[in-house]
Amino acid sequence: MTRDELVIALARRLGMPEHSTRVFLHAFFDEAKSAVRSGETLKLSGLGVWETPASKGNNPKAPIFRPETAETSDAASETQFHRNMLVPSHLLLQNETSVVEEVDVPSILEELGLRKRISHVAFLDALLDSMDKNMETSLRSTVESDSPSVLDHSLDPQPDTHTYISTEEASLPFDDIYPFEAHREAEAEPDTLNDEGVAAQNDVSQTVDQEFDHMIEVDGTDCHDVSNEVLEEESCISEYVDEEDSFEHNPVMERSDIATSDDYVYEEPANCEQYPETGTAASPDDATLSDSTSAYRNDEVFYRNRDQLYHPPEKRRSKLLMLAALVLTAIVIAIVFYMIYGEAPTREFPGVDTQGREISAVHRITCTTIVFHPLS
Amino acid sequence: MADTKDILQRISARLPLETEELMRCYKELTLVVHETLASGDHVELMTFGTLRRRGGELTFTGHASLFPDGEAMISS
Repeated sequence: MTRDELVIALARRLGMPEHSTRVFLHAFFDEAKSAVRSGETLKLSGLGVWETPASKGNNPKAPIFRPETAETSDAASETQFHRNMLVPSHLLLQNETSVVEEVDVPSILEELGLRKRISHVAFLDALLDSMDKNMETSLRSTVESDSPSVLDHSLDPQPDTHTYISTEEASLPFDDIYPFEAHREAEAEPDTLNDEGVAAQNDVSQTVDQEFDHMIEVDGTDCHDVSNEVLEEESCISEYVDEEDSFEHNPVMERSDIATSDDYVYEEPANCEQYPETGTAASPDDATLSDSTSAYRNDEVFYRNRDQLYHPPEKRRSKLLMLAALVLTAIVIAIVFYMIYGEAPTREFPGVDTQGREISAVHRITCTTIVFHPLS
Repeated sequence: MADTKDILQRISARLPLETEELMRCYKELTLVVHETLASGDHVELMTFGTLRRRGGELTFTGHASLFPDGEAMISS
């Protein structure tokens, strides 16, 4: 597996862009390499250990690599820990004779760190049960009253007054089929809710509201009817209510809570615009200002880099550039070949005949041969 | 002594990624490396070196840039 294949495989696994994965891999192994080169013992869990033996002089020795075995692997032990976090033996009874004894699940969950969540769920269950009981009581008292109300109508079985229509009519709007039905219902609607029914509904809603307020205002003394779990969650509820209030009235917090890693929201500090970068002290709160400005810049750089990492710029379509480069290369090669193997240009100067000079030179050689031949 | 967390913390100062994200990346990297080695192929760890399995043993060949004098390292 080459580097590129490793980048592609890891990017697919992580669901990250290949550019970001390549940046991570380069940064990680460059840092590991610098650690090894500086003589540190490098221990990468799951891969192995690189030890640099002590060397005499300035010549560093080659580090020794020891692959990590299953026994010494941190990753393996960590995986084993997570797998065996919920040991089945914990759910078994300590005393085998007391079979009917209940398993203390909350204590087990508390050991596992799940106590808070479970107690919160128990509080919600108790709250809903209490609300159901009050609703039932209120409904029962309303139904048992002599005067009919809208709740009576809703509880009594009604005769089947449904009028069946054909499929063609079903496709039409209701007002087209029964043009006067809507007006009749609109006129009859105020009569269906008589005063007693409205009063009963108000009673129920008030009872539920009071009960809900009572359950929310947990102060340790007014919650005997809920459960002991509620008492333990006193601080949790207070924090929850505080968070709700702050969430409603603090738009900054709302935006930052909603923001995700891909869609971040950065709130610019107020001091940055008032005191732009001048390089000198501009206010009595210079230290605070510089801190906030530097933090703002760091955050800005952080989020910009993060955005670029998650959304790397797309590669330019370099087909045209490649085509142009090929054409230019071909032209250059052609010029070079022409200069090497092409005919030399004939330069004609005034009064000089190049062909005549060549002929005269050959003629001179021939004549010289003829002249010296008899002597030899 | 530098372990995985140290390396990840060092690069977290340069990369705009949280340490948890980097740890997740590293865990996936180890999985990819082990799967590749199990399949009999070697793994080129960028400019750090190459891991390969020879005769059942895991060997590491350091990249040339791992040593200032260009000394190669093959150890197991």
